[in-house]
Amino acid sequence: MTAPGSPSVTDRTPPLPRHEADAVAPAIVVEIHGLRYWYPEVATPVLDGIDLTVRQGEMLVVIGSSGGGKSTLMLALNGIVPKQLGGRVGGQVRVAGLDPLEHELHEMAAKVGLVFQDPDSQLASIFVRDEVAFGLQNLLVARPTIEERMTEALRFVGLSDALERDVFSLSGGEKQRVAIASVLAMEPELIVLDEPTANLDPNGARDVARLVAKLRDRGRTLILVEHQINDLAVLADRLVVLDAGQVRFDGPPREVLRAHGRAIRDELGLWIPQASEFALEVEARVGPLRIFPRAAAELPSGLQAKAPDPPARVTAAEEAPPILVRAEHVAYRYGGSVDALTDVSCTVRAGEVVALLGQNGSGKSTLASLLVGLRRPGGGSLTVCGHDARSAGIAVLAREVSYVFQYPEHQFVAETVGADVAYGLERRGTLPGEIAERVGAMLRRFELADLRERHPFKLSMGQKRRLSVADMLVTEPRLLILDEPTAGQDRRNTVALIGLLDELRARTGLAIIVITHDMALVGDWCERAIVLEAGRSIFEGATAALFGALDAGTVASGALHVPDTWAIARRLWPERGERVPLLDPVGLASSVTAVGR
Amino acid sequence: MIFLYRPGSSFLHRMDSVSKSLWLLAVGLFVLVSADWRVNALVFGAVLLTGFVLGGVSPAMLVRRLLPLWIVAIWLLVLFSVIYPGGVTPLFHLGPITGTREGFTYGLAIAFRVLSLGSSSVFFAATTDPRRMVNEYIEILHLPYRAAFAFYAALRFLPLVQTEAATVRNARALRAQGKVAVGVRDRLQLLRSLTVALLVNMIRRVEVTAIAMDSRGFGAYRTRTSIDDIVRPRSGILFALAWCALVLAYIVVFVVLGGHGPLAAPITGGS
Repeated sequence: MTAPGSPSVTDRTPPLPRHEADAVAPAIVVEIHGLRYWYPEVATPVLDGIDLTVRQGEMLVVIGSSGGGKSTLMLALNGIVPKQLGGRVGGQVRVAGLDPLEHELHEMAAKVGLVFQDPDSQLASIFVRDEVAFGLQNLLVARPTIEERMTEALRFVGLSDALERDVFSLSGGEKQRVAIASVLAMEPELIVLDEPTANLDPNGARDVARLVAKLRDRGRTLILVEHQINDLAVLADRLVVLDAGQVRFDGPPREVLRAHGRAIRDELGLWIPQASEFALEVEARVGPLRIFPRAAAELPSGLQAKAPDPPARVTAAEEAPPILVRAEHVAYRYGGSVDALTDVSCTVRAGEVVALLGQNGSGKSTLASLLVGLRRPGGGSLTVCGHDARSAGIAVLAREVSYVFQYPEHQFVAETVGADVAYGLERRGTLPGEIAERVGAMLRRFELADLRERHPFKLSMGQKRRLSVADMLVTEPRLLILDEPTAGQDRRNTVALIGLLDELRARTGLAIIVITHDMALVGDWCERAIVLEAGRSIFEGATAALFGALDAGTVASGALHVPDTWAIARRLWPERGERVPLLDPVGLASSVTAVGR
Repeated sequence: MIFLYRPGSSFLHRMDSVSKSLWLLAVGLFVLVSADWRVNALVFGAVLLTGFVLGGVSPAMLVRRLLPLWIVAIWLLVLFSVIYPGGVTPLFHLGPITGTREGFTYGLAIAFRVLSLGSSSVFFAATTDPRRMVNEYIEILHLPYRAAFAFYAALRFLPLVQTEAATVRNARALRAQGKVAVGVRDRLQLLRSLTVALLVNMIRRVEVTAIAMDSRGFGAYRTRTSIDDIVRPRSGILFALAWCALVLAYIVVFVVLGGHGPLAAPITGGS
């Protein structure tokens, strides 16, 4: 699938920027030719002719649609596919000189280290010490060597003092660092990280990203699988794009994004860095940039922009939609002793999209549970859709407020998609005729009508997310709470979901609270933001004002960072300080008048 | 802190897990073969003394952890007092119901049996580091490490299951606007969907764990390198053996020779 005119991008023997000065190319660590793989009892191969070469010291970032075979490819590198997962395989794979099909798993374990997405599931031990030593113990490494490597690996990941801690006391980021330490201790020639930051809060994700950069700088051979590559594109030597089980694009990220960024975004429905989206638009409108950026920090100098369009005037009638949530000094204490919320004040109006932000443990989930009536506030005043949340319980509030859980599977109750959507209406005692009508309309709206008889657990990731939202919207709530709606979703699924919700919002005045760590989503979609820290609300206001405050340091939340769109706006209009407009990459690019030389 | 385990340096903490398991078995066997309430009360007293003095466990913790068992014990005492088939001597009247002395003493034996089993288990769990236990089972009893890890993995996953179950219950409560289950059929359906959701999520997690373990060479060889020293204080072994000897003596003297066993008629206080 080589695109004409861009040989450097699609060359299967990629350029090696970090080693170009070397007279001899580094050794090949991974060599894959024509790899095909079929899961058991599935007719279509999930990998359909993969060709890939990775050299020592390279860092690859692999992207592809949800369910597109990225993780399967990673598992093929150490033989888990097909040895543990079954199925049929074709083609050739060699990793560090070994064929995973011919060598035992434990032989491959010494060559390939795998780190997975979910920090809770991948840790096998209760104590950090056992977890880091786990692989070495299995391979019968001598005890003094184990202790030496354990100490070194924990020191490398910055957890030297955690040796005797139990894993339950670790944060998500710390667990992920322990997982990396347990792999590092085995000194593999290749480290594979499968969406290592997907389940982490911003602090955890930042720590893991720093660790990845450190590994890269130490010359480790790394393969990372990710959906969002805003922070990774600058680190990677190569960006590999999978499509339909094949390598569609492969090359230095800058070149792949410049040559194929639109195809990756629009045809494949994948995320590309916001700075690259901006650059693509600028190059199409104004002319080629001297340097094609992978992140806002790489924007070339000399960009000139006209004054941004003033925000649309708000008419008097639109100025004051009704307030749906009014929280004043709300407090909540778990078990009478653990303060989850100490002082939260905020409002949410009909029709708006509000981001609820903060580090894990800051109180976001507790506040959400008060809004839906799962808990009652212990102090302060909380009014939700006209009901006092101290006296109105779940039976009242859950009629007005719906909550879409982070993992869709948690909320599925029925054995078919149709029955699942109907469940909430049946519980309300809605008449059968009306249920059929509303369920049918909701399934059509969310493109699930053809899947009506399918079991919810058998849907794809994107379909599950759509069903989870349809389940909650069918009862026509006035307020919808979305918990991490973009987690594990590719761009196509996310954009489709946002489009549906925006359409509903405009039509019905639905208000949406988005609990998220995805600051790009906050910048692109949320009009306002509420920031919690240690049970207190430390900011409430327009999203642009939040980014300005974060930039200026007046809101000091280590959990948050500004998205690249904001950083680009600061570069375009430096004279405006923190008062730059909040625009998406296309909006930003439309203001650029010259790119400089 | 994991589950009941509280780190410490008491006699029970220092004792190796195999000897402690032997003590636990001896206590269990003692109260199971004995239907004499006085014997079971003595065993219960000895267990309490062991836990409080030799284990450093606080009485408050025991009461809190055994709360359901206290209730069960009292319920059994009352139940056997009134339904015991061999009861002839009236002890108390509750309206038309008469409690008998024979039933009451039998109930006492059962109640002390339940409390002895429960409290010895709490003391065991509160003073036994699960990691050390797994290692000692592997090293001393030569238990296959794959089997020991199954237990270890279960401990690792229990908190996750609890958290996930709470989330799933909350999700159902919200979707049903609080009317989660009305009637038996509804409850069964709820239980089924709850179980399916939990199972699917746990299978997904366990699959990842299994892959993460396999990819680090789990099961590669028949043994693994141990990174912990096995320490077996002699006093702990003697303590366990003393309990075993006591149980054996009781079985020989009172059950084999004396005719008292688990199915034998209860020994009343006055006999």
